[in-house]
Amino acid sequence: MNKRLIYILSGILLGFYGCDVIDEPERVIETDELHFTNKVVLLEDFTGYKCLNCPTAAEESARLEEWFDGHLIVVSIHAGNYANTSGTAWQTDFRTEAGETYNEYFRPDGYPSAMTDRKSFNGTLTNSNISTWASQAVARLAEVSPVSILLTPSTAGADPSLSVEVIAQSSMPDDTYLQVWLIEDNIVAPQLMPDNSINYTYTHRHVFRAAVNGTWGESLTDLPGTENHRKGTYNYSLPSDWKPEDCSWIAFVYKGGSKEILQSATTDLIP
Amino acid sequence: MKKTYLIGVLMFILLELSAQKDVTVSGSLQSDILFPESDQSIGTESYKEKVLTNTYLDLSASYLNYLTVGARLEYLEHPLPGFEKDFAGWGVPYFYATGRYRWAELTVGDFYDQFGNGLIFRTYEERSLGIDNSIRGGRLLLRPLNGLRLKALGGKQRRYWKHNDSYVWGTDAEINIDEWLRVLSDHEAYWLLGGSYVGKHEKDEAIYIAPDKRLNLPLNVAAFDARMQFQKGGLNLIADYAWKINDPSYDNGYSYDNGNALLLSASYSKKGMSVLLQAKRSENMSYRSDRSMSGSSSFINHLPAFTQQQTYTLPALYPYATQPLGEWAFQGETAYNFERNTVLGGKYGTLLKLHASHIRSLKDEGNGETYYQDVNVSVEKRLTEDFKLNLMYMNQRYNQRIVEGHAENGDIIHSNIYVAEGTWQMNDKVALRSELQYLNTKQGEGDWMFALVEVSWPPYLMFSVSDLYNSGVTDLHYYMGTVTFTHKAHRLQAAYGRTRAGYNCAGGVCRYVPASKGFQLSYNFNF
Repeated sequence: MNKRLIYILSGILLGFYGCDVIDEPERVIETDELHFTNKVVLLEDFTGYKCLNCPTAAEESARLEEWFDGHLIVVSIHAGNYANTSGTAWQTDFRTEAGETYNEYFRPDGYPSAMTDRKSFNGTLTNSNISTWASQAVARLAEVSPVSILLTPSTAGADPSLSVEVIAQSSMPDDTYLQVWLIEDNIVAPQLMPDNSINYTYTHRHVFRAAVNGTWGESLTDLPGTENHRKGTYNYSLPSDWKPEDCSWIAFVYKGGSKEILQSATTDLIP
Repeated sequence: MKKTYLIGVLMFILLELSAQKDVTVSGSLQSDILFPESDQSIGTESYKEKVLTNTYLDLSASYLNYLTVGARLEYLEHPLPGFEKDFAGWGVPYFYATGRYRWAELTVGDFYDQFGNGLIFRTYEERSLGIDNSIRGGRLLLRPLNGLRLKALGGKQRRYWKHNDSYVWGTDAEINIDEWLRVLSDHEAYWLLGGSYVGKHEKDEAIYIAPDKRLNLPLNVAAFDARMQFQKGGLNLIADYAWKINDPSYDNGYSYDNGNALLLSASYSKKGMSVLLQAKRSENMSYRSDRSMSGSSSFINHLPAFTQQQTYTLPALYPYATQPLGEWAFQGETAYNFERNTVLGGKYGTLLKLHASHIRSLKDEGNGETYYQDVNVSVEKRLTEDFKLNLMYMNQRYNQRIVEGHAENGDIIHSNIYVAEGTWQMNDKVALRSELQYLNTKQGEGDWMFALVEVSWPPYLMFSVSDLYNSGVTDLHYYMGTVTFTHKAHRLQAAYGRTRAGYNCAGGVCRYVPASKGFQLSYNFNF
């Protein structure tokens, strides 16, 4: 009988180690991991107005913009099935050829899904866990970028234009590309909400509108200048239904192979 | 190169083993292939590849009852549509060696196991869903006394082609009281008591709630289970209770609430009739080896679905997926066989089945909102010596917003579904089977119809043609023609047609399958 008891007890008592019960006062801890350097991080949010969980993601990215005060740029790329125009409520088409290309290339696992500087975290590039977007941004913000980007917008000509200077801190990394985008903010259009209702007066933020210098941008070595200082000038003829006062230029430098973004910058279309 | 080398070594080992005396080699090959075609009218994706395939080769060798070694080669580099992005890859992700001696068994390598009903631990493979959450590590199984079984296991959990960083371990004990209490065994009663513990250890991560504040996450999360099963004659009673300590995760919005689940089941059967009643309440019992994971991977446990697995197409059109945050679930089923040569049984007998499922939210979450409900009645009756008729009616309520995350024309799809299936044994060799189904609803995509005709020469050959038609909204036909050859251990199926976008579910876990069109080939070989 003793032997039996030993077997039983050892069987059910083995490994009771492993119980971190965290009481309420201890559930939040202070941290000083957020440090700003010269780095500006780009958060690309794959979304769609038929995506029920996307308004929650938009709230989170707005919160992160506030937290990171000028060091985080958010772009909402409407692409995939949740952005199509089938159905009478869904006639505003936010899709673009470039956005669909990015969607096909990066293949988000679901919507909403974001990339932080197109950097892989825990082996995945796109991340649909909204709660971890902040930690990914904090990790990137702590890194020093090897390049700086200066943007000078102008509306002096017939079309809005942008002058972009890319300056290496020490030496320009190999195989780098410059991408210039246009986004438009504060577009009122329908959005499916988490309770499955349609909000017809939803304000869509940071909507990706155009890849100004081609879907994948251009190699820095193709731009005039010296090895460590490149310059490019771009202009774009705005469609009549865009609001110039809500439009912004975004420019970023990324590595050709991995697509990892090294530095980003943004400025209003109208200076 | 490394993978190819490893495969070569494994093949060599198995070939050598197969030549040895007292060594048995067995295995299986399963290959599903699609030659995809684009069809914008049904919304197929576009593919660069000309061929997509999920192919599995299992091999194992056993030396008497003492040792078994095995491995599986998977080729999923260009997988069939609808699997998660990380699913793609190829290699030998599964291998093991199991040794047995007297009342002990030790496995090292990759293994699947389950504690009780799986409420705190279940690792399994379900290829149609792309699920394989095996543990790589070790498992010890002991049967030191009659009626006593002890298990201890631990390792890292597989997620596609990697293993999650965390460690998972557990112990389980089951005692058959009837082996020790003679009064039970004398009356042919069986009484089982079981208890389990599972723990996981994950490294810390930063979940911010403010720029300078983050959550203090538990690194070690434990779950416990206690269960009982009593059986006597046709009566079978099961009670299972599980609970989990704080486990903030993506699934529960990083809540620190404990989780719990209670499962009760009672069934009775005797010749000609059976009754089943089940109830389940679960709350916050999603338990993963990666707290920030989403999708269908990395679950340590499994919460069983309380819905009937449907084989007919239209009743399976809107399948339910168990909600990890919590639900109440009830299921009841009864079957009665009216014997032959009775008024209701007729000349050949009649089988009547009644089934009902009801699943709803917990009061705090959705205030008793219905997630899923179905009531169905089916009759199976042989009308003549060579003709059998099955009829089914189902009334179904399916909360599309909860299950799929979106809904058209209202959250709940309320359907009436009618099914008629007839099988005519034309002669000794040939059988003709036909199905007609109709789904009537005002929500979702409206009404659906389905028809199928199948001719078979068992066990060798079968032809079928079918059409799934949406008369409600899209006016689209999803036609399919299939030929199946079976010879001994070989089975080859060829098909051509369209497949509707939808959900493929098994055991309450679902995978979204996008629309597809093209030629399909499936081959199975067991040896």
